[in-house]
Amino acid sequence: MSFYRRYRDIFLVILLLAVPFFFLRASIRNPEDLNVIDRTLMRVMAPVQFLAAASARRLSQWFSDYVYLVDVRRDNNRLSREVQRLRHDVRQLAQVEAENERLRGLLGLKESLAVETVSAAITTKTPTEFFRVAQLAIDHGGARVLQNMPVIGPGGAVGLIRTVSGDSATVQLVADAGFGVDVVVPRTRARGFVRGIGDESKYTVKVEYVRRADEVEVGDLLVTSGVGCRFPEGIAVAKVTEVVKRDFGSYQAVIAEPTVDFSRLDSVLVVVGQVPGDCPRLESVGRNP
Amino acid sequence: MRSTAYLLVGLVLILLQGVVFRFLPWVSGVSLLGVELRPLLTGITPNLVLPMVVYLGIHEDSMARGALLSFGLGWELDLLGGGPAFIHRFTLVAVWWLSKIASSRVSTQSVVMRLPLAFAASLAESAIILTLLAIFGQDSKRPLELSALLLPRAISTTLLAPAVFDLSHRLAIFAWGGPSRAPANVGSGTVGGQGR
Repeated sequence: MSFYRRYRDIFLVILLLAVPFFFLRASIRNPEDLNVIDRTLMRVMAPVQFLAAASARRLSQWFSDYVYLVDVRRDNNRLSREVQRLRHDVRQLAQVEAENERLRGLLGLKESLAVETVSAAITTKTPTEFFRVAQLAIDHGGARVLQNMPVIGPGGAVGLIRTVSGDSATVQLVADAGFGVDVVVPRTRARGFVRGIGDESKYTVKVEYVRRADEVEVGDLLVTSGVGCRFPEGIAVAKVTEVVKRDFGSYQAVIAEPTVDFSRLDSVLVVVGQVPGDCPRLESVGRNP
Repeated sequence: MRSTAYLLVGLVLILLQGVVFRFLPWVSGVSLLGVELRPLLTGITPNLVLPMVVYLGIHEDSMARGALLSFGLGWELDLLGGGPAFIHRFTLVAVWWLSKIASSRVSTQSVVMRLPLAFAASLAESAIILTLLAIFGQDSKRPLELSALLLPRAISTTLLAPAVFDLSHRLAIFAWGGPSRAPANVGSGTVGGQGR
């Protein structure tokens, strides 16, 4: 490299640094004041810049659409799973709420009864077409559940324990033909005897031995009288749906519907303690008349 | 021919860096290893011409050509990149000179060795611009506000520097009329002129 060339290069570099630096002050203070060459070049470059910007905008739009579409699909899947999970949770909460309500009712019933009871959960309903029975899983808690012990639900009398096998038992329902319990109409103190009809098509009972002179109306509630020492006194059994007063005979025909909705029954109480009053122990009580 | 090629490619790079921001929204929406990228991407618009100037500082043995090309690239950047006129003309020539000085004193054998140089050059460029703005500008707070972008800009420029180095190398090979006539050690990172 010659001496001249070396100093020429250094001079050029210094010039290329000095010239911009010289104009820099003015251009920083007034950026809009461009010289003629710059303005011309910018005018020439403007279409190129516009083209580049437009292409980039389109490309970016395409990328954005694609990325957002991927996000939308992913979000859709995630939200669908979330909705399913929440629906499941809502169903569970509804079940828990219903169970809570039911257990509250059962607890209220248990506290209102002046007799020892154990709770039991319904595991099966009407396992045979001939007998209206419900299979129970009994939470006996050491209590001894025996045949003919009364079973009471939130709505009233459910039936009687029919068979016991370990921690499970079958219940003969109020509507079964073999069931019977002495009842009274609280409004008029008219007495009668509820007996199941055994009608497979509907839950219906008939009330026998209601004297013709006794006042019984449709809608009257029938509760246990305590006679027979099986059910405690005052347990709702059925509600009168039909009354047929005959011109002859000693009794009138009364049809009633059990107060317990067996189809919705989930938990019951089994009366294992001594029914108040002058009653023998349950172990010695035989079948209903 | 070579100078024209550099200026044209430099023009394309400037246009490219001018539209990078359009692609940031969909990149910034992405999270990497659970970390949102959006806050990390503020001010990451790289200076794609700067690595080319660094490359010229390392490999261009003609001082006049290197300085003039840097000046030309700075001019393009002034025209298209926004900002006050002459500022990039000055800074890119300054960066080219610094790169030339640095390349004769530190090893620039490989891309890995050149990356710190690109990083330092980017920091130097930003520092020069901020200093000039502080000296000549009317708003004294602006350089302080812009200083927050200094590091992200340097990092993004450094990340893209290998691609620009490679592009510049291919350009050198192309401009020489083929790889055989190109400086044999350009790709490996030694100073091109010294090999001939």
